[in-house]
Formats: sequence, structure tokens, C-alpha cells
Amino acid sequence: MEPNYSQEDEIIRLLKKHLTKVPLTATEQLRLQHWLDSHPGNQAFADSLDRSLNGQDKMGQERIAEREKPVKLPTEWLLKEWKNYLQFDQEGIWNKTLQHRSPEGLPSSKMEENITPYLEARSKTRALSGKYWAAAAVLLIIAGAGLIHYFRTGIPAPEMVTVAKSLDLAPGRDGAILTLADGREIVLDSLGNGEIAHEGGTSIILKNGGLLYEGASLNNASAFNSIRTPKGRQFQLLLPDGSKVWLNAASSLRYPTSFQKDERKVEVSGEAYFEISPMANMPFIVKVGEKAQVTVLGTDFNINSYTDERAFSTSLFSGSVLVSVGSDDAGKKRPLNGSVVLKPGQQAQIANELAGAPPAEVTIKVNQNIDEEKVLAWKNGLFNFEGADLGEVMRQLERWYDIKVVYQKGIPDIYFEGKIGRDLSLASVLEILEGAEVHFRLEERRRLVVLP
Amino acid sequence: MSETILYNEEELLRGFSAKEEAAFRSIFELLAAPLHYFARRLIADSTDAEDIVSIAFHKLWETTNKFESLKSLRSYLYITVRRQCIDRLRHQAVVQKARRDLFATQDHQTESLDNEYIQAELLRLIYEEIKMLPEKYRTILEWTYLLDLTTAEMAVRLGSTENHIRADRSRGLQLLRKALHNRALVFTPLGIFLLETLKG
Repeated sequence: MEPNYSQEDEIIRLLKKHLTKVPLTATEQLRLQHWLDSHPGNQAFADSLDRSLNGQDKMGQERIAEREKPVKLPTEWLLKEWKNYLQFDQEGIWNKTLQHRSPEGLPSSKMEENITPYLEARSKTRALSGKYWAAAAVLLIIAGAGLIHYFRTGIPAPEMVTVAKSLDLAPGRDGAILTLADGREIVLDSLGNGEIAHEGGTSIILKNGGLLYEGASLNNASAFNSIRTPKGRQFQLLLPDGSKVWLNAASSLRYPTSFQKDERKVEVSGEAYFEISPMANMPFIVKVGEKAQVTVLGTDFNINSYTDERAFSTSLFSGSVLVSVGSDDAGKKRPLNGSVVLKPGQQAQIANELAGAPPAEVTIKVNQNIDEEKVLAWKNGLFNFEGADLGEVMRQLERWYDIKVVYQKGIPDIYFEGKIGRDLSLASVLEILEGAEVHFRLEERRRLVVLP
Repeated sequence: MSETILYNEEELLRGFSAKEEAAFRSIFELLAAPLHYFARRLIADSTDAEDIVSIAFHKLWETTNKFESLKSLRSYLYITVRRQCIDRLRHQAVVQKARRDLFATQDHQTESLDNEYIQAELLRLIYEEIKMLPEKYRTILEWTYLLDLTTAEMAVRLGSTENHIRADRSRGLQLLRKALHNRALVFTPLGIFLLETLKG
């Protein structure tokens, strides 16, 4: 049996009766009430129409255009919606329809001849055609009859903003800048595999997008290197003790070329994921500026310390870590007031606005059952936007595509769900977000405007 | 004074079945607006909605279905548009949380009705009625709601007074209500137009 809308048509029939004050039979009332109750929008829709059609509209009490002062009329919704209803480009759609039939793109001349439509226009001004009616200003000059045609062809939709191909931006990729102890900077993006530097007995080798340190031992003098990913880059490296670190865009890691004494200490900014080799007598300490430090025995965890996010977070996946507020250079090991020991699946958060306040006032919040997939999406080549608000989504795009995001009229209050690959070009990502009703304009010099 | 009526519902259907371009164009003119409105209620993006509507009309032209009535032809169009909208939503990697209810309606066919269809069609009927109002009243309604003119502006253009404009607008709305009340619910208002003219 062919699917049809007979049930819906029945509701329309009942609604129409109801709106025009025609009495309904008991069965009809029940049926209509059932539909009205089945979805919140239904009752609201019926009420709007009811008010529109049956509301008071005495002379002198009407308010129509926004510019007039008197009391607002219930008729508003139906008739305001009229404009919305007509907001489409009829001829544009007609042309697209014809294009599907003859991809050469032009309506056949046979068609033009026969275009004495079956629908007779009620006015005598049928002769006037299409493009004439583009601007409302033009319409004002023309007498009422002309509007009939305008009304029939619809009001063209406002221009849809699209991203020109030339402005599209490529996604981020592997790369980083290595700063050696003596200050030399080496850009790692386009180097081939092999030894790229030598420092104090240690060989620094670039291999498949990651960095290895070989020959590091306790005998070598300790020197500090740092790896920095600018916007649009990510990098992975292997530390002298075999620990692995993944750096997200706009991040950095400062570390010694060989680990000495009884602790392994590194400094991080931005976002990094760590898989730390267990070394019983050498806790691994990650320092995040003066804000916090994370002490680890052997474990897998992610640190997000972007200063433009709401909070500093450490998420733990296996092992155990101690997260402390402030900086603890003296090397004390007992938990302080501002410390928390995390178990796998937990996340410690320190609100960023409090950074800079004396440590006693800063609190650490512990979240349970974190979504590992979401926290580590970046490392796995994805954006995971589950439950993210627009601001968060835009900040991630800023770092990965190296753009500056500007809001034309405040940040729209939208939450998302879903994932996208990080390997898409910016235009593709924006297209996907447009589907979630966010609108953009991509300008030169890597500027992205978010439209209201 | 009455214009020659070029068609009624049967004529239109017959013309369409005979693959007459003009009949197709008339069906398009009747239904493009509500179908586009319907699509936008589902997917928000205007360009996508335009594409979807054009594809639906193209399918209509190409289909080998024989339609018993304009009513079933109209159903065909709405169903085609709806299916495309849901497909597009499903393929989007990122959706707003608020939209997920649409998938629910699609998957549980039994109880829930297509409320967007009900709204689009009811609005179509009402707006068609406005089109049928006598010119004076229709003009005032159009200028008020489509062009956002104030009564003062309309008074100037029509060489009338604001009070007259307001009175005419009231009367126009009254006539609209009466028209909705009186008309039987058929697919094309022109079927009714035919009746009107016969009445003289």
C-alpha cells in the first residue's frame, strides 16, 4: 500500500473545523485532542492559529509594523509566518528542477512556448515577469496588482554565505620546532628521518614524525630541549626513558635530554597525552607553569592546560597520578591541601580563572567516569564535539587550522554532539557545522567570522 | 467579468499524466512554497531545502506512478522531500541535540503523525485563501505583512486615511475567517473558484 498522509489530512480537516468554529462530533473531538496532546508544538500551533484567526482586531487597537506603538495583536503569528513561508526562490528552484532533467542547464524552448500555466492569474498583469520584483523598494511604487505576481513567485531568500575555494584551509599536520639547549631551533616539519642533532653525547633522531633520544645515560650532563607545536601542527616524541608524549596544536614540552637523579621532570603547556614508563624510584613530574603539577609513577594520562579553556584538566586512563596545585620545586612528596590522587577514569580540574590566586584558594574538582574517547579524540585524529558548546568547538578549530575566530554578535548558545575527522579541510568542517545551523564567513588572513 | 477558468483538479491531473509541461508548472507553482517551508522546518539550511524540493519535483516528473488524485500526488511530493531531509540529517556528523527527535518520529511510524506536514499544509490552505480575497483587502494584507509597511505609509500610497486602512485590514481578516469557514477542504482553491464563478 502506498504510504500517504490520510491521517494527517484528517487532522487538518478537524483543525480547520475547530478554527472556524464548526462544532465537532465527540469522536472528532477526541481524535483532535489526542493529536494536540501528542506533541507540545501541536497545541501551540493550534493556539497561534486560533488567536490569529479569531483574535480581536478592533480598529485603533492594532499594532502591525514594529514601528507603531499600540498593543500587539494576536493575529501576528499567522501573518508574520506568511513572510517566512514565502521566503524562497521559486524561479531558482524551478531552474534547478529543469537542470535535473536536462543537465545542459537551459529550459527547452518548447517549454517556454507552453508556459501558459494552467493556473490563471487573477489579475490582468500576468505579462510582467520574474526579475522585476527583486527589491521590495521597487514594489512600493507599483500598484497592488503587481504584488500578486510577486506573491506568486515568492520572496528570494537572503544570500547564503559560502566559502570560496581559494580561501579554504588545509587541516593541521605533523610538525614541530625543536629548540636545543644552546638555543638552536630546528623545524621538524619537512626533515627526513635520521639524526638531526647531537647534544652532549645524545643523538637526537627524527623517525616517522616522532623524535627519539639515543645514547642518553646518567653520565651525560643534563641539557634541556623543548618541542613546540605552533597552531596547525601536532607531534609525538619518545623521551629518554622511553615515555611517549603526544603534543596537540599550540602546545609545548620542555624536558631534559637525559633523566638524572631521582626524578624525571618536564614542563608542559597546551595539551599533551603521556604514556609514562614505570620507574619505581623515579616519579615523573609534569609541571604546568606555576599553576599545577602532576606526579606520576607509571601511567597514561592527558593534560589539557590551554589557558583559553575554562579549566586545566588532567585525565587519567591507567595507573595513578597526584595532581597538586602550584609548583613544588622543593620536591616534597606528601599530598597537600591542594592535591588530589586520581584513579583511572577520573579527571582533575582546576578552574583557569583562579590561576594566579594564592594556592590556598584554588580548588581541584574531580570528575568521575570521563569519556576517554572524547578526551583522546585529538590523539586519534578526530574532533569529538559531544556536549561541547560552540565556544569550545571554535577554540579547537582555531588551534588546528591556525585561524582567528571572531563573533559578529556574541556567541550563540548551541551545544553539539558528534565527531569529525581532523583531516578534513576547514571548508568541509564548516559545511558540517552549517548543517547544525551555525553560519560563517571565512575571510582573508585566516579570519573566521561566526554569524548570529 | 469572470476570467476563463483554465483548469480544475481533474484537468490538472489529466494534463500532468499526459506529461504536459504546463500542468507540471502549475503543480509546481501550487506546491513549491509549502514544500520548501516544510523542508526548512526539518533541515534549516535554505540552499539544501531548495535542492531537495527541486529533486522532488524532478522525481515527480520522472516517476512511473499513476496518481489517482492530486491528493496522492501531493503526498508523493511531501514524502519524497521528507525522506531526503531525514537522509541529510542522518549523514551529518554533527547535529544539534534538539534535532534528534526527528529521527524518532521517522522510526516509529505507527503513532506519531508528520506534524511538519500538518503545519505546512494548513498554512498553505490559509495563504491560498488570502490570495483569493478581493484585491483591496489582499493588497493591504500583503503590504502589511510581506512588506512591513505602516498604516501611515499605506495611507499615503493609496491616497487614503489611516483609519480607512485599518478598517479595510480588519475587514480583510474578517473575510479570511469567513472564507475559511465556508470553503470545503479541497486540494486546489481553483476548484472552488470555479464554483464561485458559476454562482455568478
